[in-house]
Amino acid sequence: MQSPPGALYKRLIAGLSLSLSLVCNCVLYATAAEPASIKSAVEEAATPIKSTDDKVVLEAMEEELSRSMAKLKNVASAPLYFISYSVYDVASQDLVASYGAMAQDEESHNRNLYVELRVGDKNMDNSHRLRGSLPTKSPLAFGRGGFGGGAFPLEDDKDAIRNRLWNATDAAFKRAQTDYMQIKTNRDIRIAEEDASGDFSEAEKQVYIEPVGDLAIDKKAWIERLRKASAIYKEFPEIDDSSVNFEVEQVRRYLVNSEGSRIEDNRKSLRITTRANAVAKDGMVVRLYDGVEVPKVEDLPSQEKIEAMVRKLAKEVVDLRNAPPAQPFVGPAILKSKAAGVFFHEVLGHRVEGHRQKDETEGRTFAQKVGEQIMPPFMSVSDDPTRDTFDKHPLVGYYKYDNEGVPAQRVQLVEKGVLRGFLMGRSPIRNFDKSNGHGRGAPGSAPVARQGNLIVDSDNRVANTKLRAMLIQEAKAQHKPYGLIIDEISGGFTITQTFMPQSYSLLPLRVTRVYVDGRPDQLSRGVNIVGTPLGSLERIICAGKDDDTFNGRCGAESGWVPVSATSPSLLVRTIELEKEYKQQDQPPILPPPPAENK
Amino acid sequence: MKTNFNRRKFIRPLAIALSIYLTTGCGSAVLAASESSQVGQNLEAETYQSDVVMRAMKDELDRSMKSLKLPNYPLPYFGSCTVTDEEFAQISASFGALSIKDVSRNRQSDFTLRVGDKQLDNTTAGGGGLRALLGMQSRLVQEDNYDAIRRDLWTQADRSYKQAVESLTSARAQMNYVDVEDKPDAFSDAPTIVSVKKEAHLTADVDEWAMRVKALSAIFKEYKTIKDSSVYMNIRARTTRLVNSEGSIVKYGETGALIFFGASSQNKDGMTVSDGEFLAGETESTLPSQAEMEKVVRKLCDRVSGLVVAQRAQEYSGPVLFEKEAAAELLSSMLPSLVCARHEMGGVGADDTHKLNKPILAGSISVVDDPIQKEFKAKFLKSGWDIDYEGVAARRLTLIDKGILKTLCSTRTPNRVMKVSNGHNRGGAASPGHLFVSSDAGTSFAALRQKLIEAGKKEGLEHVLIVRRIRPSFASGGQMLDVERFNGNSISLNQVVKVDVKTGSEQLLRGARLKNISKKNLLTMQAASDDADVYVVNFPTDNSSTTIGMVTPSVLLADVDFAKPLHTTEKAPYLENPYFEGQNGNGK
Repeated sequence: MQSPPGALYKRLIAGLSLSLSLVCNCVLYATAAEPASIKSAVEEAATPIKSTDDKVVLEAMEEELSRSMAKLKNVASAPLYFISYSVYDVASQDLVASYGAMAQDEESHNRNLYVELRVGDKNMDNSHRLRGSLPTKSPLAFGRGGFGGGAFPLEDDKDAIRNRLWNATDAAFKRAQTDYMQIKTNRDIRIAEEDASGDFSEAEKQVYIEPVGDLAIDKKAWIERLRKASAIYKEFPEIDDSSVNFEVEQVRRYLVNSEGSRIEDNRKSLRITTRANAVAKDGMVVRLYDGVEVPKVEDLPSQEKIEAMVRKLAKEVVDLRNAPPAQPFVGPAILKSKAAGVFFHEVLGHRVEGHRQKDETEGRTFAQKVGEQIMPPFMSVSDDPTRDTFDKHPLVGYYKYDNEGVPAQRVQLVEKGVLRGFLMGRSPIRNFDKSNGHGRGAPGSAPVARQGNLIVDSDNRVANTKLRAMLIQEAKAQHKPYGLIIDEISGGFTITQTFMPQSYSLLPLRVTRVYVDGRPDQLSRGVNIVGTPLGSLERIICAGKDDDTFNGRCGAESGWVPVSATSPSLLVRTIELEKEYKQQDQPPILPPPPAENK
Repeated sequence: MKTNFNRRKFIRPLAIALSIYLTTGCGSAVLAASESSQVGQNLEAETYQSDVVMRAMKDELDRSMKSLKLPNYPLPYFGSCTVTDEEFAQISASFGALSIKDVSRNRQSDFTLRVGDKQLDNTTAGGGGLRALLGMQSRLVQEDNYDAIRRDLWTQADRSYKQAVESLTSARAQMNYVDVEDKPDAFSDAPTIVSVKKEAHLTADVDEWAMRVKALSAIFKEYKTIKDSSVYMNIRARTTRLVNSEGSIVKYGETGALIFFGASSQNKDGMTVSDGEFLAGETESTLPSQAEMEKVVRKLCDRVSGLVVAQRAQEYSGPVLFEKEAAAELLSSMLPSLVCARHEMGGVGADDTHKLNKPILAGSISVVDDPIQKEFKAKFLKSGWDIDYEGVAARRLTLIDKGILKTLCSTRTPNRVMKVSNGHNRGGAASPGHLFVSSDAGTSFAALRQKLIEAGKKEGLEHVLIVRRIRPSFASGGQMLDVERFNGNSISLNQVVKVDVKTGSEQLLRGARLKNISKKNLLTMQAASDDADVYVVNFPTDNSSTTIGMVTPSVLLADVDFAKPLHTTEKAPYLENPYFEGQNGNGK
């Protein structure tokens, strides 16, 4: 297993680092999806991760919310006008096998509380962004604390839950009063804001109760399967670190707010992933990652498919290790479907998140461009969290209600190249005063506008062979010796704030040179795609007919949320590649130790 | 390395395998008879045959020592591999409901390779930074799978060697340009040890303990004055395996259980007071009975309830009596830095300030460290060890004899004062295990209290202070009481009483904050001879979170400064706790 520092670096690269997301507005990493039609051969034993009659939780939340609204309304200088409690019951199981042995077997169960408490009124409240200072304190979230207090009860015990809510509400109320005073003063001493929209939008009351979820897996059988699959890497001595992982997570969310909304629902996720690293002769660590994410046990892949995935990945890592390093390059490229999905997620998706349009520390690339052409007229983009599949492939950004209790809605973001709208949470912006159900956040985090299932469409599509021919033609026209095909991507990140370069970066894993003179294609490694948003969108020439979906996790200021991005392959006029960070270590000095049990 | 052997031949060695065997070390004195040495060899063979993890460790270490080499650079001259398996259960509950219930397992390895020689190696001049000194902790596959373990160790050894080679070059380059007077060696000799004991496993009924923890946390519901409360428990079983290139083979298991109760309350003036109590045992079954723990919780609630309405403390300078439990927390923050040999990171001999053979405590006080001692006055001492982190047998040390510093806790990294290890490396740094503080002055606690009053009178004070409790450092995330840090940065105490020097009457204070104690003050410290008791205090070392067992009597210090309570406090909650709302007279 990788040492902690190595693992940390690897995570950073794979986009798993929260610290990175503090610098960059978004980090995305991949989990591939398995077609929903594939049935598993797993025999499911009854091992429920969570099963409980949980009326008590919502009752306790409602009772404490009513009491707080009634008694705190006018006890301090700023009137209380809204409270929302969200409790996330998160049960998870992580199994990791490496080289034929279990490396990790962990179960966890915790509850996170998010209290949203607003004083003032909807036009100006304590959530208003302070200008001229760093972002305000972290939201009130009482997750897994230490034993000094703070942890939310795991059990459905009304006294204990109300006790914790009481403490959290009191803390939230005091902080809201302080923040509100600061905000009022801040507003008085600063120039007028460019977007004078209010701070909180109207939303209809929602009542929705889903039955308690029951996510059962046959753990014993899965351990055996993981051992077997991970042992495949023994056949590849060039690979020095590898694993096969199975993660199961079920989140039950309880939400009540002072507008009368009452929601209890579930989100399930089962992920089989594998990763492998090898060190090239020049010291570059090459790493590949593949995986399947499904919402139901019956959609998990068979052992045969898992082993095929592992074997394919192992072979690709070895090929990549032996491939030459890529060089900095500007020229035409085909972004294969998944890479194109990530491209849109980073270049467009984060820049059409509503709250960024009025935050004056943000670049607001598209804030003034509604109704304007921002990309070629054959391109359209929507975000549709109400869809759970695309061509039978699961979409992990599916949900019924967002984290603010607003029903998910399809949003047409771009229509025939023209910007039409934004992803909206309950923070209104100029000309967009309602949420469209995109207020999202990780359990216990304050929601902001985020993507769900981003879907890119094109009226200008050609077959893949034609697309390749067009790539060669474009490279010739630009006097380039080759064009590129980027077909595996681990994720990406983007910066949307004004105090840093407002660029994006995609992290391709496999880059193939397609030579204009007919030489065979050549695989290469070790580059990142970089660019700025407006120019990049204009350079799309044509799309393929091969829509595919990138499923992954996106990290931003409201934490990690599952998202998908579906797109056809895209031919772009120019793309810029820069060298990625390369570790300087030689490959291991000694060969792998001889196996005792072959 | 697989060894064929006759199983019956090893019955005797196994029967006595719970002892430590000392065999000849490289270049060191012969410490064991030849029979023991033979037993050690037999035990070694048996261990590698029966323990897959040890076999994988040994085989990869052997391969590294023989073959891990870059052109133009030396082979390692020393290597060690430590694997630690930990099984850990934690339970927490508040107000009658569970908030944490976890059982986890973790296996970590530390593969350390040294290149150069014992006089100058990769750790000289701070080479390789902290990682070179402490080794590299890496996660290892959890199953006893020889191939998978060796595979992980292979990559760790590779990283360790490359880093060591780089650090050695840097150290040699630096030494070309400096002259170091009395330069300490980089590494010391130590006897070889073969000691194989039983593994430790978690056997606790976690569900049952969860019910018990929950029930204990529900007691707080009886106390309206308690604003926040929690009960936290952890149960731990750890197995450590070590092999090194000198032939040491060590394996042992340790268990421990700890339960902590915490409570806080808030005065109408906004001041929050808190206190905590913890109980520790070798296993969960050695903890007090449920009924006894309930009493401890109720006593804590009563203490906090009393404290929250006590008189506000004021500034104070003068003599202070720290009763035994408070003395343990206080001395644990002052003594270790005086009695532990420091590594000289970043240099090759920073001036050492240890006052060996000079007085550092009052002439009546002695301090012994004995990690091997298992109990004191029938109370379990949980913080010891037989063999330390580097595979060196622990020794009992008289650190301070009648006030004079005699020796220091040391590791295999020498400094100018301590040339060899005395088996006190814990988690990568020198650490005491069980510190026994004693006085031969023949002063009873009652006499010490009277001395306090007399000292107050002499200074013209109306009252003097007794500190009964300092909040255990386990509380609130284990914030340490650190005298060196809190000087000028005061720390709140829990139970402080003022004693009227005329009448001897006592009055509880709240918000008392210790501001300053000089280490020179220890030269005049007086201690009781009749009330020493055992207390466990938190003591994180460089590479692990652990504890020290303090056996301390009450102590009297002459010149201690207290600050006023904090000027800023949070307002009391706007609303009443919903559980007590409308319950007139209910709750305490």
